[in-house]
Amino acid sequence: MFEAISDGLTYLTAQSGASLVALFWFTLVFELPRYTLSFVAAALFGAGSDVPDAAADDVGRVTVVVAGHNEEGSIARCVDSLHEQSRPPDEIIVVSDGSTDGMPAKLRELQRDGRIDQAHCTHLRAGKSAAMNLAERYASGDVIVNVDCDCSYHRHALKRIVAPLGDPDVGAVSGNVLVRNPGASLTATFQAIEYLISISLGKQAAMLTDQVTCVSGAFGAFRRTALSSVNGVDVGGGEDLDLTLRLRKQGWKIHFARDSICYTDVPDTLKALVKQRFRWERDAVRLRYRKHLDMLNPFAPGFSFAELVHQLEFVFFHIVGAAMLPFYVVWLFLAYGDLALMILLAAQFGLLFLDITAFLLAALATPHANCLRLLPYVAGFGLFNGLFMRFVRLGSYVQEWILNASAQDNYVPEKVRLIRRW
Amino acid sequence: MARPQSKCVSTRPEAAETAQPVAQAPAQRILVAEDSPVTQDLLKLVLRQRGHQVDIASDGEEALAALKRASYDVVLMDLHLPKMDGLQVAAAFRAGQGDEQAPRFVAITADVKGLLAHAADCETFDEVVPKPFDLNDIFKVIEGDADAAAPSPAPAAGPQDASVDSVKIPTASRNSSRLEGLGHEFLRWPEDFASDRLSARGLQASLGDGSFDAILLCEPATVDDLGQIWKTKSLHLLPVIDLTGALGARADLDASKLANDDAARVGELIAVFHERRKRLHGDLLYSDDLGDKLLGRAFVAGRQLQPAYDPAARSLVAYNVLLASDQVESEVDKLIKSGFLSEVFFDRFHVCDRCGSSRFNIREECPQCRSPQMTEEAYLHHFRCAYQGPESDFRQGDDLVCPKCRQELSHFSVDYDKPGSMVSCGGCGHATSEPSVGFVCIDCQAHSDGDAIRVRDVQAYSLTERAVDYLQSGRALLGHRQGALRFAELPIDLIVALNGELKRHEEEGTPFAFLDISYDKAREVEHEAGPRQFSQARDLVLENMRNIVRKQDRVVKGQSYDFALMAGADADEVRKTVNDLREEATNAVRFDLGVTIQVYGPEDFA
Repeated sequence: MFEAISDGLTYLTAQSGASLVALFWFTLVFELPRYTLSFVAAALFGAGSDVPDAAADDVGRVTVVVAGHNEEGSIARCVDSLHEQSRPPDEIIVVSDGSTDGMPAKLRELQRDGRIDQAHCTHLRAGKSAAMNLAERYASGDVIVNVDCDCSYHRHALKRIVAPLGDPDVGAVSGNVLVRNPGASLTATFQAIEYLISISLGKQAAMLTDQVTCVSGAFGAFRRTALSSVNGVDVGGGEDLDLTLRLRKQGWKIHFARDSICYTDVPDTLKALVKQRFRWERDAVRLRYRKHLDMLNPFAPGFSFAELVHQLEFVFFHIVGAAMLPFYVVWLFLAYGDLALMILLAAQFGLLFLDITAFLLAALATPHANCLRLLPYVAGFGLFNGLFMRFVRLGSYVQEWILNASAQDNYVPEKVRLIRRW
Repeated sequence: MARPQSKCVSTRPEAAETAQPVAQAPAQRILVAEDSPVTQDLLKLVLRQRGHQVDIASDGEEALAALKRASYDVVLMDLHLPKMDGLQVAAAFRAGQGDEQAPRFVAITADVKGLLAHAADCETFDEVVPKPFDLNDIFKVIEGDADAAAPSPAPAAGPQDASVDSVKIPTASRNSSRLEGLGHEFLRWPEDFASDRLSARGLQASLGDGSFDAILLCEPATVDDLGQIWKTKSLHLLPVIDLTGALGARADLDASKLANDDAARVGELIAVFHERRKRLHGDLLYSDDLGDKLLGRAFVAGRQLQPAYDPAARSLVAYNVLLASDQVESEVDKLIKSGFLSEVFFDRFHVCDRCGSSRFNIREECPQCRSPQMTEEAYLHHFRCAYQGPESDFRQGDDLVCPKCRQELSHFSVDYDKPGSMVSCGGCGHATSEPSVGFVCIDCQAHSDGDAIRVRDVQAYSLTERAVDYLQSGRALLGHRQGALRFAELPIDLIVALNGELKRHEEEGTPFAFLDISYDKAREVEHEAGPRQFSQARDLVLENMRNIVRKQDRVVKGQSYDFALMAGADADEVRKTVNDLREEATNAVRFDLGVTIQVYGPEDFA
């Protein structure tokens, strides 16, 4: 073993620059640019990107919409936390989407106590999109904020998520979603790091280039006129990505409020995580390259270069990156035999420094996130994110492309899936 | 001639509450005109014990002489006196009397009916106490506050009405005719209850005259109108036959719906009441306590206190008695605590916080503005574009067109479905899937929210075994009350003997001890072993007592209690040994009778 390592080191140190590129091309192509971008984003942004809190006073009336299915246990706490906001909502509308538990009764209670303004309870589940549309139909606010029952929100989160809407070009603002249960399991810990680096820092980087493509379903604020301009939410899943893409098509600016923090529970088992990511990735592929394929077509009406960039970015870094990984690994083993392992380890070792730097920058760039205790786990993050999650992505793309698997996803009720166009 | 307002009859008020032997009433000068020496002794004993000054006259002439000689506050007059009867004495005295304050004349008679037959006689006496009398009634008449409890029946009811000779039933109102031929003696509303005063016949019935069979309601009346019936003794134990249908469930028989050939039911009802009334102990027959009356009524009617819906009552409930439901409910608590009633849930009502009424308009309201002007509308969900909203958003004439994607919806459950419904408010436009429930009080217009409104549970009440025992055995069942000696319980010869001892004590200073023996577990033993066994065991206790005490001591069996009179014995000494005495007397007795012995000395009778 030691011999293999020392052999490997001897071999690697003996390489010239050009041959190192030949060895580590995968890392250089698929990992480095993203990190570089993140570094730049983190360096440029910081406090400068934040909209002053005072802007929240000028956005008009704020309606918070909560749509949930069987949320008897969490709805009251969710509503309580909304009333705890430094800028409380002007109106709270809750939709119980075909709940079969005690949620309708709970809503009656909340409405009676004046804790919520409207409650709509249906007997048949219509899906999250329809529930949100119903709530938005009755919302009286100039700004509509979607929140999730099972998330918790920083005291200033609401104020800060609506503040960017002071800019009339901004159509929607995404909140910064972080992990509430990083200690639940190693899987959850890695996701905490992932949320911090890839999602939080990633969206900050995207902000730099006006490339924010998903206003998180767990926490997003929408200008009412923007929502009307796209006729509200379309059928899910992935309705948050879809809605954002459609807003972008209409020319609305999408903002990411890094200081508007929301915590959510992530899956704490690998199985649940894989299931969740299969759904996300499938929906992403389905929406981007079926429903919104026209974004890739330079001759389509309303074509925009910015949309082309994020579509191609996704193709290259997500799809091609995932697809190339097995070839790269096989190629390494065929070409270098036992040394392949060493080369992979060396790549990971190199990435470790990038990861740690990215993590520290992300921690720095994300206010209020108490995440330094995650630092020791960053060592394993490269493997988790670079290898494991890539294979998960690959699996889901293949499944969606070949089997159209999202048509079976129960996230959306069957009656809707059967008739959904995309 | 200045005369106090004449009160013909006292209807023995407040038996239970005034049972304490020594009342704090001002001392009165009393003349007892009574030919029976036993009654003389009894009245002298008890009235002196209560601090009054008592003179005795044994015949009419003596009484008249005494009246002329001295001035009295009260004259207790037996109507049947030798030489001059009570009426004559009273009339003679009144005739010869000047303007000075006259004593109150109280007639004591077994023949109330006879006395009441003549209006003039009614005028003569201020009060009438029926014989055999309850000492408490005598106390009440002498010591006042009779006004408070007893109605003041006056001849205003009309001496002509009170003509007792007319045994035939007076002309009744229209629809009572078919009950007339049945030979029942009815008290009639309104004739016998005119202007809130009982007629002589009513008074007669209230004194427990068994010749009355039922109360006949000939004209519509409310419970308030009929308040007399429960305020007066005994009347509540008569069946109430309602010819008008106005009383509903409160009456025992709704004769307005009675077919002609159903007359037998009237007879049956009356028979049941008569039969069961006979089984009721005298304590309950004449009790003034509302609780006692309710128990007695339930027993005599042979039914539980059953609530029924009554839209006319603010409580929406009427029990099958002529009392408002809140009167019943305020009384039953204590009866349940004493173990006399058990309850069975009947229904739950809502209660207005402001006025206590249970009559409400209950409606669905807008949670926002409380308007009941709500219209229901279905939610409609268009699957393809995820639009969800009220059906009216989609309505275009006969067609359903999605307001978001303009597609026409043609197939239910393929294109769209209706996942529920909501109500929207015509007042403020607010929409919700859960309207509130609101209550508007019909009586005071106060509004209450459905989830804040008070509720009241209404129960049916039935007599427990203990209550049935109590009703048949009287207050003796409840045991001694704070060691109070009740003269009414004493056998008359014992009163005479006791009086003799008291006299000896006054004159010679000879002490005596009077023992009151009670059996606290009498009922239990009777239930477990039978009344005969109890009676035998009690006899054995008395026999033992007789053997233990000295020859000259008297051990006397009473009705519920037994007594012993020990002449010349010092009460304090006896008290010291009373435990041994009890041990010894109950030694060979098979059952634990719960024997309690109370010892009284001369000072207790002072």
